[in-house]
Amino acid sequence: MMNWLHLLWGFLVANLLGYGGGPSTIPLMQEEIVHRYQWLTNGQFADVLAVGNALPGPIATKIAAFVGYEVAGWPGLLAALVATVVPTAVGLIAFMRLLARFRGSKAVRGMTMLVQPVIAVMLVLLTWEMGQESVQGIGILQFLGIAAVSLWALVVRKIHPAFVILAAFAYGGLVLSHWV
Amino acid sequence: MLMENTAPDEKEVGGMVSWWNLLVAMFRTGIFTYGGGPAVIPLMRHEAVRRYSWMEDEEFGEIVALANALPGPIATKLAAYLGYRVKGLLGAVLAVVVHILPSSLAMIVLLGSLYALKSSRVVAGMIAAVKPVIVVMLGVMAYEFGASASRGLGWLFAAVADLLALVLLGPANVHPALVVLAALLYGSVHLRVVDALRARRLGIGAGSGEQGANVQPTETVAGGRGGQSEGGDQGRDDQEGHNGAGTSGEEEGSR
Repeated sequence: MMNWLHLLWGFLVANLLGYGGGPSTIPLMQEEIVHRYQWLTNGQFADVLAVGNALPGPIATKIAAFVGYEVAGWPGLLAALVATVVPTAVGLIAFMRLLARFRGSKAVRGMTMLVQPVIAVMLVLLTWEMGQESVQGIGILQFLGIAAVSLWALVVRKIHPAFVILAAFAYGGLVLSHWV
Repeated sequence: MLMENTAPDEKEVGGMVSWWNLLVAMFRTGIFTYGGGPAVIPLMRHEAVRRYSWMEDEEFGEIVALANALPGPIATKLAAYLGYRVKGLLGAVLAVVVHILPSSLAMIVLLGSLYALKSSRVVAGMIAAVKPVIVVMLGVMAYEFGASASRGLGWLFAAVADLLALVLLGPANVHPALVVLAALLYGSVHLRVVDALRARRLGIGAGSGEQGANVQPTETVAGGRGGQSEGGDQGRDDQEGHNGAGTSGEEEGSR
């Protein structure tokens, strides 16, 4: 009983305090998981993180699912996931409903316009950060080569991103595995 | 020009979109996203805007902005909203479940082979090769939102807004939620400001509705206005931004 209440509360706190998507909540989750409730040791948490990074999908929910299951089985998994996903999803839906109600108004049309430069800049910064990370991992030449081919495939040939990612996997598994 | 770029009316999509399309889209984005939540943004956009046309880019932009302004994982917020937008509450629940379930279960099932996976060079190579692809997708998306902003606001005002956002989000390290809030607050009066200033400058000619006559003054007027608001907004954001960064641990998170 207490266990899943703790899971609910711990993951709620970590996710409500984390801005900027899943990766930014990792230190907050670690605080709850390792320090406060001591569900995992630091070493175990590092392993969970490593495996989580090797799997696709959002990182926060992978950690929540794993820790929830470890602590309290399936009810624990459910509690941790609900705490991670529901509050902020409800928040977004509520905000968007509010915007949708006044969709035609001048105020909302102006908001839509002014938000676009902010998005563009947020994406530029994300692009830059991920680019740096990638260059550090595989070197500038590999990075530019893969980037050029995927730019051509995505923009010129308009190939579905999933296929481009699969092709990158194949290249990474066959070729890059000798580098990294 | 400004009028042309208004947000489209809510599309009546509910009846036309099949559950199958929604769930397949959420499943696909769930298993093809590598590198954490933000990498999912271009994939979600591809499904929602390009492939299934559930919404226009403007609406998707708003979702991303608000999702960034709210705490918690980005991917599940986007999945929940897209599901809700297309199929209501049940759509939201199922979209999130389908999006996160495969990887959540894999975490538990792979418990035994955790270490093999972690140390595999092939897996490491595969993941490393996907990162540049994600970078390109994010870059392309950034360019397209920038271009769209430029069409809507006029290039001069858009450039001022871009620069302001870059300074606030980059070097000034202001909390993204505050920058989005500031953009929304000023945005809510932007068109009224432009109209008022245009009417004053153009006098009688304001209502002519001719593109060539209207575009030029709009841009200069809007640009001037952006310059004026710059100092005030930034000062206030800086102040609040420090509080926000202190409590949320955003600094280490965003690197």
